[in-house]
Amino acid sequence: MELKYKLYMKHILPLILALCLFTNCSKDDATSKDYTYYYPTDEASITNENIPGSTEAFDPKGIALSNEKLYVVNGNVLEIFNAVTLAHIKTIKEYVKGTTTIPLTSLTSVSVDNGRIYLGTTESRLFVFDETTNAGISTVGNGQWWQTFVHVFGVVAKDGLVFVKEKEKSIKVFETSQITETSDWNLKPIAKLNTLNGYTEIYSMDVFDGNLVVGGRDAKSYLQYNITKIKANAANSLTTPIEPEKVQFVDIKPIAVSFSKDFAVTSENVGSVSYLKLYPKADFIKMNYKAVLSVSDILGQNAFGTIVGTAQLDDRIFLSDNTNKKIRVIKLNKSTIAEQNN
Amino acid sequence: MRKNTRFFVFALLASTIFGCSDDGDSYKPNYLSTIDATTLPAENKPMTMFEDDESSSKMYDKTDRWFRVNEPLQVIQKGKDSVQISLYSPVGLTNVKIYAKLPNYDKRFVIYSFSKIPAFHRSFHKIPLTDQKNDYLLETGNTVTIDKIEGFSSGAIQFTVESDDPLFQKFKKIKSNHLVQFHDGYHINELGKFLPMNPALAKEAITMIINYSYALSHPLYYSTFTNFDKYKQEQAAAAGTGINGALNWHGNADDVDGVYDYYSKEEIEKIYWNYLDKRTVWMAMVGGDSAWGGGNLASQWESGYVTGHWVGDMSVWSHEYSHHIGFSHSSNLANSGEGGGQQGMLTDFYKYLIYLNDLPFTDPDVLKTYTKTKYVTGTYKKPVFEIKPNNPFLVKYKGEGKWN
Repeated sequence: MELKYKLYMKHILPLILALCLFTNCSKDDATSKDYTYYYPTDEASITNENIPGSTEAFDPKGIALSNEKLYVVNGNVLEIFNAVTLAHIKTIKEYVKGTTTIPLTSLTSVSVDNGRIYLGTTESRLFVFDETTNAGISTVGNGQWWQTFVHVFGVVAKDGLVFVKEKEKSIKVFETSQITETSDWNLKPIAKLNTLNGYTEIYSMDVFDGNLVVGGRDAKSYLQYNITKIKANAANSLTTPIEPEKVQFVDIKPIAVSFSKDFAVTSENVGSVSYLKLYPKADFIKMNYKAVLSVSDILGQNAFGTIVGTAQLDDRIFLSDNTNKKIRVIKLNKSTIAEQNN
Repeated sequence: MRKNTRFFVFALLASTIFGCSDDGDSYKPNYLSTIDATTLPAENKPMTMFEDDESSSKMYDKTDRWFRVNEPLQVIQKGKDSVQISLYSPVGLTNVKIYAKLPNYDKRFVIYSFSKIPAFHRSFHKIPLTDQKNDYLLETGNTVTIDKIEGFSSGAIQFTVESDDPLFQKFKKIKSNHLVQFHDGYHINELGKFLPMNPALAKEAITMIINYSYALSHPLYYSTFTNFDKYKQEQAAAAGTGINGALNWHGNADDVDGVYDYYSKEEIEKIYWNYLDKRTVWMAMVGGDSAWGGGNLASQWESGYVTGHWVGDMSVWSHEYSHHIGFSHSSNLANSGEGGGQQGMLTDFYKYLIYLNDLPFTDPDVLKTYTKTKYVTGTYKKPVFEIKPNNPFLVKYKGEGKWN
């Protein structure tokens, strides 16, 4: 009898425990639905004072992040900073390859991808450097505007393609594999894109989810080009450049765009006011432009000037504020909005 | 038996750990306390705007004293963590909730709940979000808990106001969003033609412009304005005459031999909304033979502010305001000529609203400016309102038409 009871207990205990768990009140009723409020605070700024020995006026334009390094186009030179400590690492003033040395001038834009630095200049040339050694790999264009490019106002490299914005409405598309140590300077693009409007402004571009997105300040919209479609229509686009898909804004002029882990980090001008806007990138790429953050200053202070480049590393956002001649380093803060179920 | 006891203890324990508890089912919110703005501590810097003896330099400071006629209770973010609350009204409000809306979260929530806000009150309040984690009442009736937020960029919070106070319900109906300021340039440059105002008169001007904006927004006014041809026909029929002058609204071109530059139905609709648009009106006072309006300016005599508007004598104001909207003496939108225009029609309508008690303010004793001999130059008695039995709106609507 004693033994029998013991056996019975052994079976029933787990059963009771399991029943207790299953019949437990659902905690879903009491849990809150959470939203996140984002807001920026000032963290630091990068100006001439952060560049040892620099005597030039700081003139920030395109910026790029790679391997915790921040690349900043500064007038005629490229500055490299540690993106974590903000310490200045080096200034690149020349393109050097073997016995060839070309001084850098009138730079506009930078992109770092797959071990290479791509650097655009209004001197109608794209310089390509090794990301690790900073040695020259090649140049596209020979510096004459009637040749490969009519100036270069923007560049982005990603997923094996390089997109180069030149004067007026033209973006030329190359394969990164076209550019080698031995490639000719006068490369032929594989495709051409039409930005609808534009003249001689610096353009910001980035690639996400198989789409090139261009901050179309003149067209008052984000210009979106599907890369699969670009490839499919590449040959034809050399005579009829591919037009973008877009949502037309009325007052908003998108200036800069870059994709971080979560967001499309953008700057937009509305009249004389400059905004930093963060869009969830999955929505943004579906052209659903609902910003989770839209600010023109930091807690009521330090209004933004025209931001020509953006980049985000973790909770830190870098803004190339050309009006105020500084890289603004801001912290993205979060507060939880918990909607209670009551 | 020992095993048996162990089993029961275990079962009891299990039921304690996993069992149902009512406490977990619904969140018990702890909202911020209600504020009585009549008894605020000094840290809120409470004050009354437009006190009779306040320096008139304050009322003429356009950066400090301005409001939109549809937002007499104004909430403005000041710095990263506080707001300024100003009530441009001669009568206070009760039971006011100020809602905030944040980007990335669609629902409004109450950040301040005021039991009372007195007339022409102003005070400053720290934004509770910047203080600590708090519970807030959502407009849905649920609760939202928001972590501390260090501060806000300009315009990051949108404020809206709700109140079940009947006066506030009238404010809410005002469709005009004209911005009101006082401008001292007129009397500084042309003293005599224009006269300086003082806070006692400014309070009357604010009271009047809110009432006037309410009247312009009134559905009865809209229907009369947009069917002015019908109104003219009705007046002619009532008088047993033909229509005197223009048949409908017409513009600024000279009227030659009864030829008018009539507006189309679409143009009239657009003009109506021009009267209610967001432009700025600078209210001023005149001392000479004429009142003036045009551009930002609209003006009238002291008597118009002190007693005239309480009895519905709005003809001069309507005329000058129409100049401000862009109409000249050739248009019946500004002028009473050519057999009656907006001046007369608006005045009759306004009187009918006073008769219906269908304006935000109908009691001159909320200000009693007519008694303030120190602040007025004319001699006044308490304004006593009367409506003529042949008021066309009274005749037509017979006490009906109150805006509910």
